[in-house]
Amino acid sequence: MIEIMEGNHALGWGALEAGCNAYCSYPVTPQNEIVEWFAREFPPRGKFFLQSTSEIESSFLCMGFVAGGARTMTSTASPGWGLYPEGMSHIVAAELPLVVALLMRGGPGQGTTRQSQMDYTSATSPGGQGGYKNIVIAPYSCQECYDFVQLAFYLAEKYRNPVILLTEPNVTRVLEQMERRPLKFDYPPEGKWALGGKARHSDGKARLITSGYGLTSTEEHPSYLSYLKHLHDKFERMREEVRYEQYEVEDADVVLVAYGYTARVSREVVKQARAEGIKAGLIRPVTLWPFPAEPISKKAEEGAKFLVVEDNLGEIGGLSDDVRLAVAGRAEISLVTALDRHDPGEGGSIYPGKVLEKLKKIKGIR
Amino acid sequence: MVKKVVCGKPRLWRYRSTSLPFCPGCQHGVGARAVLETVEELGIEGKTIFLGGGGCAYPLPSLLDLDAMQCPNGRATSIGSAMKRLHGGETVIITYQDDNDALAVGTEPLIHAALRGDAITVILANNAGYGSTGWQMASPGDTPVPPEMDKPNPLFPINIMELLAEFEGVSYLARGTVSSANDFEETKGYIKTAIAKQMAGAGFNLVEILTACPARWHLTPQESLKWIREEMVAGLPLGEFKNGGGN
Amino acid sequence: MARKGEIVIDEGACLGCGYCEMFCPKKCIEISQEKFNPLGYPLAVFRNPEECNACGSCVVMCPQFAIEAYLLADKGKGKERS
Repeated sequence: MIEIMEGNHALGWGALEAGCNAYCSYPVTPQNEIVEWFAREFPPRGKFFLQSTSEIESSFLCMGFVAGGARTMTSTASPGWGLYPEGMSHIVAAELPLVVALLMRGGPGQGTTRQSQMDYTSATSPGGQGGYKNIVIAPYSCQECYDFVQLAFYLAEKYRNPVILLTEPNVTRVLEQMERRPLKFDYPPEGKWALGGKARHSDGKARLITSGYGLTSTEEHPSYLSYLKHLHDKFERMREEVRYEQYEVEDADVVLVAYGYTARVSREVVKQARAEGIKAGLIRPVTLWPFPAEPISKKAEEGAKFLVVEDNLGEIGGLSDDVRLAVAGRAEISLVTALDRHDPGEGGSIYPGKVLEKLKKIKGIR
Repeated sequence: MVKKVVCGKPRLWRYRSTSLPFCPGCQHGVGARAVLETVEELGIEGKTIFLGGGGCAYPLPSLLDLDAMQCPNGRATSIGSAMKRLHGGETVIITYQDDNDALAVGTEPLIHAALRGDAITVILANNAGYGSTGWQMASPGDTPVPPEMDKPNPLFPINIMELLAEFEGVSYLARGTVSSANDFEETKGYIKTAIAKQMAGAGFNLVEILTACPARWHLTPQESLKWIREEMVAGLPLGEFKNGGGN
Repeated sequence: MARKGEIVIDEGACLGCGYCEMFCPKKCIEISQEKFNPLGYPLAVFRNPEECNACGSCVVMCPQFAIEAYLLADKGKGKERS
C-alpha cells in the first residue's frame, strides 16, 4: 500500500518493524521530528523512549540500554554528532550494536539549521579514540530511509558494531510516496552479552561488559593483542557489506559520484545530459563505508572523467577523498561543492543547473 | 575442636588468590566489601548488576561474581539509568564511582538520574583526588586536601547531599566512612537501606563513603583514617540526609 | 566458655598497611619489622593467638582481603561474626 510520508517518520516506522524497543536522543534541529515520532509512538507500544540531557548523555544512555539487551536506536544532527565520539568509541570497544541516524546540517560549529553534506569524513573516519570503523549507509529517499534502517539494525547486530545512517533534511523532511514493507533478515542468535543479573542467564554465570579490554583480561579476549586481532578481522569482514548503485555508467565517459540528496540531483543531471548527447553516468555509493572503490576504479581505468557532487567544502575532506583514493591518479576529478549553491543563505542547495554547467565544462562543451 | 570460617574474602569476590590492584591502605577494597556483603545478605546476587566507574576502581567489575560492566568515567550513572528503565524491578542496579567520576564529568548524569528519580543505588567512594593518573587534586570545589598540599585556589567541599536532597525523585541519601569496624557496619547499614529503597521502587538513592587514599594524601594509612575522621568530615558531615521521598 | 579464634594471613596479598594492627581490640596482630612479602611489603603477623576471639575486625578492615578468621569451638557450638 502506497503511503505519503516524510523520511524522518519512515526511520521510525522502519525501526519499529526491525524490533527496535529503546530510543534515546537529544533534540537538535533538524532531527526533532524523529525525536517527536519516537516520543509519540514508542511509549503506547510499551517501548522505551528517553529524552537525554545532552548528546554525550545520549550515547551513554544508549550504551546502557544496549548493555541491558535492548535493540536500541539514537539520532542526532551535526552539532550533536560532535558530542558522540567518546560514546561511540566505547560502544565499539565493548562490541555493542547501535543504530545512529545522523542528519547533516551546515557546519562547522553552530553552522545552519538546514541541509549540508559536511559530515562524510567524521562519519566514515570516526573521531572517537582508537581508530575504528562503522558501517555508514546513505539513504536518498523516504523508501530508503524505511528500508535501510531495518538493514542497519541487522548489520549492527551481525557485527556487534554501531551502524550510522547518514542523510540530510532534504531527504528526510520531504513528503514522498513509499511502501511499508518489512524486510526479513537472518539475525544472529540472541546475544549472549546482555546484562540482567546472573540468575537470568541460562548458565547462571556472571557476565562482564567492558570497553577496556586492553586493561582487562577475559576468557574471550585473554590479551590486548588477541582483542585487536579480533577487531581487525571483524572490520575486514565488514567490507563485504559494500553497496552501491550505478545509473547509465556502462558507456559513460564522465561519471558523477554522489550520495544523498545530491545523488537525486545528479540523476536528474544524467538524464538531461544524455538528452543532449553527453555520455554521463552516476555511481551512487549506498554504503559510504565500506566505500565502493571497485566500480570507480574500473571507470578510472577505462579513462572516464569524474565529477564529485557533494554539498561540502570540496577538497577539504569528504567524498572526494575516497574517490581520489579509488581513482589513484588515473583520472581527472572535478568537484561541485557548497560554493556552487544556488543561494548564499543557509537554505542554499546544489541544483541540477549548476551541476550540468560544470559537466559541460569538463566535456569542453559551451 | 572444629575450625569454622567466620569471615574471609567476600563470597562474591571472583578471584581467590591474587591481591587487589590497589595501593597499601587504599579503601576501595573495603568499600567493595561493604557492597558485596550487603548484596549477599539481601540474597539479590542473581539480579544485581554492578556498574563500575573510572579511576582506580576501574578493575572492580571484572573481579566480581556478578553481572557487571566497566563504564567510562562519569557514565556509570547514565548506563545504570537506562538499564533500570529497561529491566525495572527485575534487577538491582548498583554503581561504584569515585569523586572524580561522579562529582566531575559525572555530574550531568548524576543530577539528572536524581531528577528523573531513576531507582538506582549510587555508591560514591570519595577519596579526595586522582590516584591512578598521578595524584592530581580533585576539581576545585571537591573535598578538602591534606594540609601539606599547596592550595593555589580557595577550595570548598562539594556537599552533594545538599544538592540532591531537594530533588523529589531522591529517596535516600547518606554519608559514612569505613574508618573502623563500627563505621564499616554503619555504612553497610546505609547501603542496605539504599538498596531496599531501590527494591521498593522508591527512586534514586546514594551512599557516599569517605575512603582513604594514603598514597595520594602522602599520609600513612593510620594518619589517613585520622584525617578523614577529623578533617574530612568537617566539610562533609556523616549521617543520613534524606530518608523518604522518591516515587 | 571463652570464644577462641584464629586468623590466617595471606602473605602474598598483605601490603603491610597496618589497619589490622590498628583495629584489633586484643592487640593480636602486629606489622613485622623482619618479615616481608615477595613484593617487599612488611607483613602482618599473628602475635597473640590466645587472645583472639574471631571478632573479624581485622578481616573487615583489610583492604586486600588478606585475612581469614576462624572460630575454634566444640562441635555444635559457635557464633557468626558479631
